[in-house]
Amino acid sequence: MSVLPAALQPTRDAFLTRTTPAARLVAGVVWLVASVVTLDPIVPVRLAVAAIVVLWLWSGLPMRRIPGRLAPLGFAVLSLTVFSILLSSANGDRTLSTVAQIGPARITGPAISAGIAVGLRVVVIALTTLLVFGPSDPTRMADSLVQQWHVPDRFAYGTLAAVRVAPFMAGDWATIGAARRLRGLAPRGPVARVREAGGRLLVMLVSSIRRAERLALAMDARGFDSGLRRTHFREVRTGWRDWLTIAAAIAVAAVALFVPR
Amino acid sequence: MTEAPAGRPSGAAAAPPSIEATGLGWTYAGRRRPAIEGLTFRLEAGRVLLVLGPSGSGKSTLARALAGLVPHVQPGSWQGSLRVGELEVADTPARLLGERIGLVFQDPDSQLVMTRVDDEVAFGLENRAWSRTEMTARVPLALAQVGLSGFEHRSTVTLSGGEKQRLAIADILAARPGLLVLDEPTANLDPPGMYSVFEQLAVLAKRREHTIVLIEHRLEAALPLADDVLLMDDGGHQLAFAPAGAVGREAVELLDRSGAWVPRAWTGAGTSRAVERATARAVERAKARAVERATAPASQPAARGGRPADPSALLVEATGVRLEYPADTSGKRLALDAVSVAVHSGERIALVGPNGAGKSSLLFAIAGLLRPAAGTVRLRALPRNGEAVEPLRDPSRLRSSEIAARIGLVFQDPELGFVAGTARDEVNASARAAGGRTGTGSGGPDDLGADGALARFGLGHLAAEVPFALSQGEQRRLSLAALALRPPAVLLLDEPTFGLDRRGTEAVLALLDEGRTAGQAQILATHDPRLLPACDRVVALDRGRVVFDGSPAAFLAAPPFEPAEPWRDGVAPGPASTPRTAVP
Amino acid sequence: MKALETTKPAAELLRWRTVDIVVVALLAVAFGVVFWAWGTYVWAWGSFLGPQTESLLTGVWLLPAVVCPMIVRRPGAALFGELVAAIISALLGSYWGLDTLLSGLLQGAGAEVVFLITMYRAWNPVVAVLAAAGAGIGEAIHDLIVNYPGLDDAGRAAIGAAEIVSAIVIVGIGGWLLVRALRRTGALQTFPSGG
Ligand SMILES: Nc1ncnc2c1ncn2[C@@H]1O[C@H](COP(=O)(O)OP(=O)(O)OP(=O)(O)O)[C@@H](O)[C@H]1O
Ligand SMILES: Nc1ncnc2c1ncn2[C@@H]1O[C@H](COP(=O)(O)OP(=O)(O)OP(=O)(O)O)[C@@H](O)[C@H]1O
Ligand SMILES: [Mg+2]
Ligand SMILES: [Mg+2]
Repeated sequence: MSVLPAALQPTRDAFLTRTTPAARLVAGVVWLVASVVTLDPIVPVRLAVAAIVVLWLWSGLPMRRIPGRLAPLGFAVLSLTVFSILLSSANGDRTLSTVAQIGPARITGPAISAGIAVGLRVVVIALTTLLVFGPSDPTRMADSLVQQWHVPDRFAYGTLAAVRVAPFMAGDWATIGAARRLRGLAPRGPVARVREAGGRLLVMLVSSIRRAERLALAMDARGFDSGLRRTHFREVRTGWRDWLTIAAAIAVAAVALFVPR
Repeated sequence: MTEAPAGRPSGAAAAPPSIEATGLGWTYAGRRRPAIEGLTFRLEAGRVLLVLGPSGSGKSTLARALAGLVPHVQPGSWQGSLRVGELEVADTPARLLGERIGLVFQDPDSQLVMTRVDDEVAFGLENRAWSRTEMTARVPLALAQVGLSGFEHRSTVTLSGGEKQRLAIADILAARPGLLVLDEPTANLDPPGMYSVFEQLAVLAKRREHTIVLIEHRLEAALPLADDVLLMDDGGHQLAFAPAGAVGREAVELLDRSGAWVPRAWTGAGTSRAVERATARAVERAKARAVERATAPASQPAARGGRPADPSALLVEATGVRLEYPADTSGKRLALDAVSVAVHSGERIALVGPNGAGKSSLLFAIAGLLRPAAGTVRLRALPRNGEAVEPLRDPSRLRSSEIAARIGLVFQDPELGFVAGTARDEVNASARAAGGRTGTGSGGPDDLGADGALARFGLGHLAAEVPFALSQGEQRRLSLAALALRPPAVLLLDEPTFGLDRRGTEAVLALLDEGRTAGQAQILATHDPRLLPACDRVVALDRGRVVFDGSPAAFLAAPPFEPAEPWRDGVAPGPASTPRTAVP
Repeated sequence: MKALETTKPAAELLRWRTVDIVVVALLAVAFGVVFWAWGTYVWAWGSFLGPQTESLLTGVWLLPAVVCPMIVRRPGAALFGELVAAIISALLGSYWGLDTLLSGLLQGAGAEVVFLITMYRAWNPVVAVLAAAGAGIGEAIHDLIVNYPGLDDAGRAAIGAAEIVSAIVIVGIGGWLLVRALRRTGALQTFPSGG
């Protein structure tokens, strides 16, 4: 599926690739919360800078692919910023001075700064997400959640199996469209197009359900539902890097929030 | 739930069990007819059983019963008794059975769970609560057993079909089950992939550490491995259970009549009369032209019967086609490179090549579904009586309704092409789009065409069923039946016979013969060397390039692949030299 | 000889089989991709029409909360489905990143409460609509706190209402029709919803 971004994988060994996904998740949530609790734009600015530095030095991810990865968000960031400014409750506050007047809409200074904060917040969230998920693959994420947080393992590994077969759906979708075109059923006009997309979606879901059934049968044949407590081939243990990561994340968040400009 | 593994200490091998069925029957919930009924046989420990029967005879159902998936996972009703060793399947929790039984399915992509090879092998051991030390020791051994040493850190996505299927076998060998059940483990594999799987099976069979139950349509490869055979008919009944060398005449005849493949060794003459006849004719034709064809340059348009081909009979022309898929990590993934093929009216071409060679991609390009990055694809409709020959046109620029009259494509996975709510409407939809006769779908007199097409493929009784609810073989036949009412000028078939029994294959060949007589151009992408003699020409692809274009006889004489034997006969090496009768 | 019927008692129907887990997870992964595409290509444009209009589009995010439970009928399916879909869209690089997990959790919980009240026994269109509304309330709570903290009360009320209406139409009605269409293809035979 060409519209989807390609998987982002670390290209070298780095500090974060040796941390456990669970630790990175904790660190990520700390930054997420820090960026959400205030409307002062300086906080997301500081966090974004910190995230870029970490991404660059310690994530092992290829930097040149990051901008492309974040580009689709640019548009949404812009619109969220504009609307947060236009519709801010601060605009109704008569004690504040007017910065700009667009038709009937009056815009105040605090509205602008809050709007920028909301937009930047999205940037921080996107960068943080890359730092959490980027440095290791979904298998290690499942291992980590099961062994460190005791997430129910049937659900974790069942989901992992689904993630593995999910890319087949993209191929299915293309094939279904092709089959319909060949059979002379390509839609003409908007109504036919919507109906056709519905039919196509249905076939794709049906074939996905069947695929999932076959996979589940194969897993059961290998004792997945045996009722025994699963053991772990690959051990995940919390190490000093994990604690360091979490501590550093908290420290950076505190600096971003509490150090005056 | 924390429990110690109850059956045996983890890490120990299970002894091969015997299998004893007494009046075994199973009916899936929601079905009226039993899938299997009255099976009664006893397979001694350590022997290899081959199960034979037509499509829908309940072979897969028996496999599921042996693994306890039936009755413990799938709903339905159970009859009689099935004992694996000392365990009665219906009374034993599936997890206890799972410790002794390993089941390999047809499609490797829907049985691999993890993304790395060693994780994948360990998955089943983790489920069975093996300790980490035991797993670390066992995983490389299991991989070595199927010839995948050194693959530990590979991603399963990058494996070839044959490698994936051998990995699936390693997965179950790892847990050291006493009973191996393999349900068509080589469908969809290229001949070398199939070869390597059968080689591994032959080694396993010889060691006698497992009882093995094998379900296979590729009988010539499977029969040499078998000690005993179980023959089933299309009602799920047992026709015979006997040592592989001692099957009665009558049982063989009944099996043949049920529409199943029958091993050549049993009938003397051959597997199927119709296939055999078509094959013989084609071989004669091929022989006559073999010398001439083998020496002709590959790019020259095919000459039929010694005469230069009539240029207006050219129906498909692909020149210098280059096709790229968007790659997932970096760069482009090249699927086809400088591929040129010309197909004439009344010509049948076999498209062969290893898994991933680009066969399906080429069919897609010819159908105009993928736009080539370089080169051109052009085709035209057959002139109807009196009409002028239309110019060759780019299929990707045709309107959908124009395409339907010119191209028919049967996909590797037929399910993805279905558009209607019932099998009958499915056939009607195709015919209507191509401007052919159509019915109303009401079952009235207009539907005779559709019902006739369904009946040809043995689907008459399923006309009102939902297409998705049909079995794999039935779905494939339905997708072919949909092309029968209004045959297109160019017919593209992706693995048309895989998983089909003899009767299904014959119906396909009959339809193909009819189309060819009417001047249809046909391209069959296939892994089955048995089909080659029935074709006029073979085009071989390897890594996106044409490596051979010539007669089937020339191809079979010197397949352009290394090693060549699998492509020549499609028969895997069994321990044919060692007669397999006595149990040590 | 003995006959054995394997029709499951009611308690068995509440236990997750492997096939339930994998099917819900796979559907949720598909929904996650849809989320990502919707957020990147549709929502981003819609958002230029202002928060109220944009809120009318949020129903799409609630589909797993109703569709997954309506198919497998197991407790927790709404939560599980929403969470997995959220994780996938976050992995693909969605606009909301980790915050998606939080909203997924709230949306799933909103629908789960409704199914819990029916004791996982009733699976009709009315329950579907109520569960959709529940998911919509969860979504509204999340959005008003996280995305629109600076808005005045009238704006907040309008957004909340728009989100709930969107949920009922897109998810309650649309989701139920989707499950019905799936059932008609015979694809749900192995599930309690298939019969
Ligand atoms: N899950 C299922 N639910 C209902 N009916 C089923 C199911 N699986 C198989 N059947 C039916 O049971 C019968 C036996 O099917 P089975 O898959 O065992 O046949 P088979 O001999 O393996 O055929 P093939 O060679 O095509 O694989 C068929 O009529 C089939 O339609
Ligand atoms: N949708 C796709 N996206 C990216 N790569 C693809 C896609 N489809 C096929 N490929 C790649 O293109 C190459 C040719 O694939 P194709 O399916 O044409 O092979 P094939 O000869 O039909 O193989 P098989 O015998 O296994 O069916 C392979 O390397 C395959 O991995
Ligand atoms: Mg079968
Ligand atoms: Mg192919």
